[in-house]
Amino acid sequence: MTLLKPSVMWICIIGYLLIVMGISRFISWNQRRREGHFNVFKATLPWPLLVMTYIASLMSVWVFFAGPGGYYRGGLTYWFSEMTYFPMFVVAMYFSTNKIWVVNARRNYVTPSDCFYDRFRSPMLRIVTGIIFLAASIPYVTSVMVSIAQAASVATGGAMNYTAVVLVIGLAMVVFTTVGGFKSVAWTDTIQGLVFMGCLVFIGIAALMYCCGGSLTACFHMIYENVGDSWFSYPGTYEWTSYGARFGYPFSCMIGYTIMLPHVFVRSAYSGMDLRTQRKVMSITPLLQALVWSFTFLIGAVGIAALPGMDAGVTEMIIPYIVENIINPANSGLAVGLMIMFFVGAAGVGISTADSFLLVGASVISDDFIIHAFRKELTVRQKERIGRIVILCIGAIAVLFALNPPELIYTLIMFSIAIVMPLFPILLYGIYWRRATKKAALICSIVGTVVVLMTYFVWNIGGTWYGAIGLAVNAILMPVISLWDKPDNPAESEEFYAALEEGTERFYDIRHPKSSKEKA
Amino acid sequence: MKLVKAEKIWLAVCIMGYLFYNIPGFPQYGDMRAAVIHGVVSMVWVWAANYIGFFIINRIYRLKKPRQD
Repeated sequence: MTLLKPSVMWICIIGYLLIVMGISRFISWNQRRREGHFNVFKATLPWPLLVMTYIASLMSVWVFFAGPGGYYRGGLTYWFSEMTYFPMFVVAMYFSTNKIWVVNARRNYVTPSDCFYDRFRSPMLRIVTGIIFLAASIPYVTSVMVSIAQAASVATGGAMNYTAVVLVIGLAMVVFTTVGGFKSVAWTDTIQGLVFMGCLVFIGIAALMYCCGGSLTACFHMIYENVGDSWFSYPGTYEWTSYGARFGYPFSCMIGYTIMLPHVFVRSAYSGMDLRTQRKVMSITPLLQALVWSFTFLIGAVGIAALPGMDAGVTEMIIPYIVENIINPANSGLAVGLMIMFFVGAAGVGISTADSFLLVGASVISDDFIIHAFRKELTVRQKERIGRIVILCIGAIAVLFALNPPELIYTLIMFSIAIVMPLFPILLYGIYWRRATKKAALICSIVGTVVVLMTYFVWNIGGTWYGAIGLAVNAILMPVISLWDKPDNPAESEEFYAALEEGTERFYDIRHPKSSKEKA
Repeated sequence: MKLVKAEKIWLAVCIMGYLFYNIPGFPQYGDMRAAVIHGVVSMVWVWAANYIGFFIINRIYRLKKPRQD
């Protein structure tokens, strides 16, 4: 495919990066002017900013690559499986990270491990959970840079130099994250989120117009003629939505992807300005998810309607294929514009994810490992300096890996969602059950990881079940070990529960509904 | 911390909706009509349960006005 010349692509890349870096620089300058030195890893955000940074950092380049390909292969039933887990975010966040927010209002957490340490008071638990969150973060940074460079290569028919794209995008992203910090990243995420959503909607509508005359009904008719009713039923034309897969993957997304991955965890648990903000995040996020993935579904549906029978590996590139093979012959100018949107959208959604992971990964090293391990009293200025140096260092390492990505990187990416899932039961037991012990939490954090490794490498079912088995094991193991173990000293968790109770009293005006006796 | 009755009911209804969608073996492979009906019913159940329940819970757990410190 040679829709775009390398010179055009470079103009898009550099122009886009200059805008993002400019916004980042302005935000950090303004923040320093108002606050002086600030914590680069933490900020409180009003709801529009928090919702958009949440969505932008949650979504990744898969929206433009694997996403449409997934719907191409998985069909209507795959869309049902996704649409059924999105709203569960409301109840999942309400009972987990929203409670942590109430505690955080007094306890001032920074890293995801902070709340685990505060509840259980185990330095080893902080280290183990820190390693898990770090292992979930860093490969993502590398993978996003790899994917953006591949998008540039696809859009120009292989004319773009992969190394050059990785270096330019990767280093720019590392620099603006280092300079800007959390609030700056939230603003750039917001802009990039709006950009990628706009690009996705435009591409989806254009694809539908040119492939199916603008009619979804016509699109479905074409699919039915091409592949019969298999695309509309389980397990799908490519047998992608078996009973196991329709549960395993969405369930891993519901717990791992939207709650426990560290970059969204700190957003939903620590960053809301107030509980009104938290409620907006709970209620709006599923709607935006539904919007984004429905347009991704639309592109996949148009793809199989217009270009049936594609090889599974090739379906990842369905957007460029539609643009090149169907839209370009009819309207070459529009095709060039769409290809630019494909790249800009992929870059926007990718960078907004990578910088969030970079930030939280650096906070784990800086706060969990360096500051808490050495137990030094540091000023805000010193912490800020350490934080920026760590961001720079691990960002540079991620860029180096992206230049020649080791095979292990792709394996680790698969793990990212899976390995954080077993921490969810530990979190819930920690919030709701005072009898949960630190020994149980520590053992389960290790056992859960081991079970996930076995799910992938021993039982070979990681592609279906992700971390679900590890989560289930921990859900049982936590109470068993806690009850077998002698109780922890209640004083250790007293501050955590006091903050929860005080926060509940402080923020809520609880009005219990009258019982039928009282009404009578 | 203790959950009020409304929270327990809300959680149960949401989880039941999600489990209804994931009943193994249902609908049968290849049955398009059943898949569409089952998918639509599940979606409506889960979306309605989460949002209606959230609205009801928010009526119980009303937010205090921020203190002017």
